[in-house]
Amino acid sequence: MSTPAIERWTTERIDAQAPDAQTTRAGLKLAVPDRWPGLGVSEALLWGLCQGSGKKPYQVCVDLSGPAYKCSCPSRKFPCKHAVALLHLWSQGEVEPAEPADFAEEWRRRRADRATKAAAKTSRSERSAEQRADAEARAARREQRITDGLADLDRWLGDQLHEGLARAGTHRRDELRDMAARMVDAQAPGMATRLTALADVSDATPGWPAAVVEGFGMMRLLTRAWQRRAELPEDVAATVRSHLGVPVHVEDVLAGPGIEDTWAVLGMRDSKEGRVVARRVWLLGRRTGRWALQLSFAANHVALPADLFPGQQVEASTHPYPGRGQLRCALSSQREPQPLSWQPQPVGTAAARVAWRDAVALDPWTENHPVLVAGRLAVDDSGSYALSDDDGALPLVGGLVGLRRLALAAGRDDLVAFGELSTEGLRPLSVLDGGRVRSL
Amino acid sequence: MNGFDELVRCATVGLGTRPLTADGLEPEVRSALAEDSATTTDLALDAAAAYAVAHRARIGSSPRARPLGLPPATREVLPPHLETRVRRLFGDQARRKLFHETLSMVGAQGWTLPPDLLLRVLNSLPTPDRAHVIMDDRARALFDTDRPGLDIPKSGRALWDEGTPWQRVDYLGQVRRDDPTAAWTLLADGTWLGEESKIRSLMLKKMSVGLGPDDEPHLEALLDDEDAHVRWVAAELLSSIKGSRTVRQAEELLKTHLEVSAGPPDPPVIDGTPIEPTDELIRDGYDWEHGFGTPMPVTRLQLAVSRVPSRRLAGLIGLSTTELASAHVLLEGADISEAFQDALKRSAHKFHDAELAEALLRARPEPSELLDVLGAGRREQLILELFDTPTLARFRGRFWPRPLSRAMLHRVAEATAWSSTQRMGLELFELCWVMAQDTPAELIPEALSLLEAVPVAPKQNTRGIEQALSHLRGRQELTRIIDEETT
Repeated sequence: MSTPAIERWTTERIDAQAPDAQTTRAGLKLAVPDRWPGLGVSEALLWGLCQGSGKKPYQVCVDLSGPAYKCSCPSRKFPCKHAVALLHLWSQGEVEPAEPADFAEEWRRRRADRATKAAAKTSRSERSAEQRADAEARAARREQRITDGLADLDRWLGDQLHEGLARAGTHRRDELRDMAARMVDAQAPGMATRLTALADVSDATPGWPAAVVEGFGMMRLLTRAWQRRAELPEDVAATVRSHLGVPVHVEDVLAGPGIEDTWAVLGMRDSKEGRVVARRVWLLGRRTGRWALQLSFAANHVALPADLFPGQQVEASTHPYPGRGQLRCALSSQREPQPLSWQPQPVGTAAARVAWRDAVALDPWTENHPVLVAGRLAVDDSGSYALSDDDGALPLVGGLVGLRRLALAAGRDDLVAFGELSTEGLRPLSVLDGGRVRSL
Repeated sequence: MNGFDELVRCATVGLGTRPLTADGLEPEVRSALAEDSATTTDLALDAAAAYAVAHRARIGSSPRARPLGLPPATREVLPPHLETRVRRLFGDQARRKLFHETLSMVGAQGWTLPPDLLLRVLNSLPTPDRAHVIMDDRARALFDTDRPGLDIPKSGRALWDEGTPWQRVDYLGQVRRDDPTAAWTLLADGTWLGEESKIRSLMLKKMSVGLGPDDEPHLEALLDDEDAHVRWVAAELLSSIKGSRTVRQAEELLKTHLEVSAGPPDPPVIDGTPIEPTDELIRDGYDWEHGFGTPMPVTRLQLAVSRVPSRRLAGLIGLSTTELASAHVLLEGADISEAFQDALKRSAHKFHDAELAEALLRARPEPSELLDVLGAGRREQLILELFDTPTLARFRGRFWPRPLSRAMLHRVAEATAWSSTQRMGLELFELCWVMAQDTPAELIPEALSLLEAVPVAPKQNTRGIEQALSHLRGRQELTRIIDEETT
């Protein structure tokens, strides 16, 4: 028996807390009661003593409501394998309710104190006129740097086409990376990401000239849009800023209007972007039918937020980030997530294509768009998988392993998949069966 | 050439060499160009932007997609409580044997693994069929068809017509199982004659299923095959057909060349005379040297023995089975008893003759494959009756009736303890694993006690014992969880 108020986490949810696969495996291996001379849970506070190689056992605490972690081990990973193991033990029912150990109680008290202080600080954080002026000056300087950087980029793009793409050959990769570094200096990291991605297109890539020309075209469009941002509608200008990587303070987002709803968590995807891992959590409003994206970033060896997990629903307000066609949001007034018991209505492949076209019309630089689509697993002559219906077939992307997972998780060929649309097709992230979401 | 192709060509060659003009662009693109696309470079970049957006708005299509057509899943994913254990075991290389045993236990309950774990398990195995125990038809079909289009799995007759040599062997075996005559029809196309010798022999071995008189003419014809391996397999198959010419010939040879010269109440003695090779005997393989270093007359006699159904041997020679097994055999005065008994052993094994196998074991108690011929009950009785503890230690991991009964468990434990005291590392290790893997669930507590009681000297390597204990404890825990989940 463990804490009755909090539902036990699934293995997948625990795995999502770990900063890397190594910690996942090590945590699972450590999740044997013999290694834990002390264990207990009190409401959302979970603690344990884990016997390591030293004399003194490690003191491990987890706040399930955060979640938040603390361990006395020297690991730089966060959460460490001990915290992951403790979660496994709790989820297996190996942790009995008990009065918190002293070290756990102390950690809870300190966290509560810090939270109180932070709340007080937030309430006093109204910026002065001087601070606002400084911020505006900084923003103006940044805009100028971006303007100058993009002008350099535009000239460079023109030079590349004038001289001919074939000329650069193997040097193109280095030149693109150099230019990406200059864009970072120019405080336009979004453009740097585009250049870095294009550097992966080598002369051995089939159809590379067309891919490079299109990549240049999208950067040109972004540059042009920036140069004319004053003439653009405010939401389009915000979209341009977001794709260039101009930061938006979450406080400013939360200050905007929120959309209250019960948000179904339908999919999650982690991707590595340089030294940073990005986590996309896709939400669908049960009443509003709106899509929302919770996007988080973390450095290597530090876990991403995992308070929301596919198969849950949560009462919350979503505050959209500025920009036309932007689905990214910040959450407020978030309640404790509950298991999802709802089967949203899927669309067919034709509607999915329309949804993607509309998404590109709103935001030409968008990389993906969520969709819930019904269809039948199919395969084409090239050996590629697709999701088909009477209106056609939508290519499935995500590699052989991902598609095998889809076929196994669905349990049948007729399925409802949630995933991200892109120009390549649908990247399935989960399958829905009744009210159940199976994450891939 | 469309406008985009022209743009790409100009960009690749260089606008300085091949300038782009707006005239070659589609009207929709021209209308989208910025008014200040003054230079050819501006024109090219703006056109690239317009084309890129237009292309991005479209998702590539799969016009000739056909249904994947996998059967629906029939297995439930194992319960979450067990899943965690299985994941932990999979991540622990040192407990890989227990993991594989767990797969069997999970499979026996009709469960499967979650997709991600199943894929990782399959990835860790040399071939997917090693995990068939936990795969349902859908999973099996998926791994047969997961690269359709690139490598469309052949099925049916196409496997024979277009498959690899190994696929052809498998297909022939499949056809033989379903319809023995159809297998010969398949071979009649002659394409198998083009395969290398090893493959042709394997193909012929597939005919061992459902052998009968109808196969005799086909096999007789293959005794003239150019390849010695094929001739050998054909002769072996013929000797498995009741009443075939090959069998009758061997019976006649034994009747002619073996005679009981002394018998009960004295120990039986069989006198043999050499079999002289004739053209017919040479065609039937009596000139092949099968036993290295064995004189040909002895080899011919062994071959004749091996081609007679073992249950007819004693009658043909004029002895009881027990007498035959212990008989002293002479060939022109030379003692060939051991070679004769070897031939009897092979015959008992080939014809699954438990009576002859037991007689041979009683005549000479030693660990041998003859034990495999006996049913579990009989084998257990003989082990208890005939073998002392040091001999049982030589069993190592073989010959034990599985799963172990309580009596067998105690005998294994005795052999294990003896191996430990004698510092016989390999024997100790393998016997520990017999206890760990073959003890039935209800005897696990007893096996744990027996293993814990194995005497260990200071500084002795006890890894085998420790691993076996860990394995048994793991099995105990898994059994408990499965019982909880299923009751």
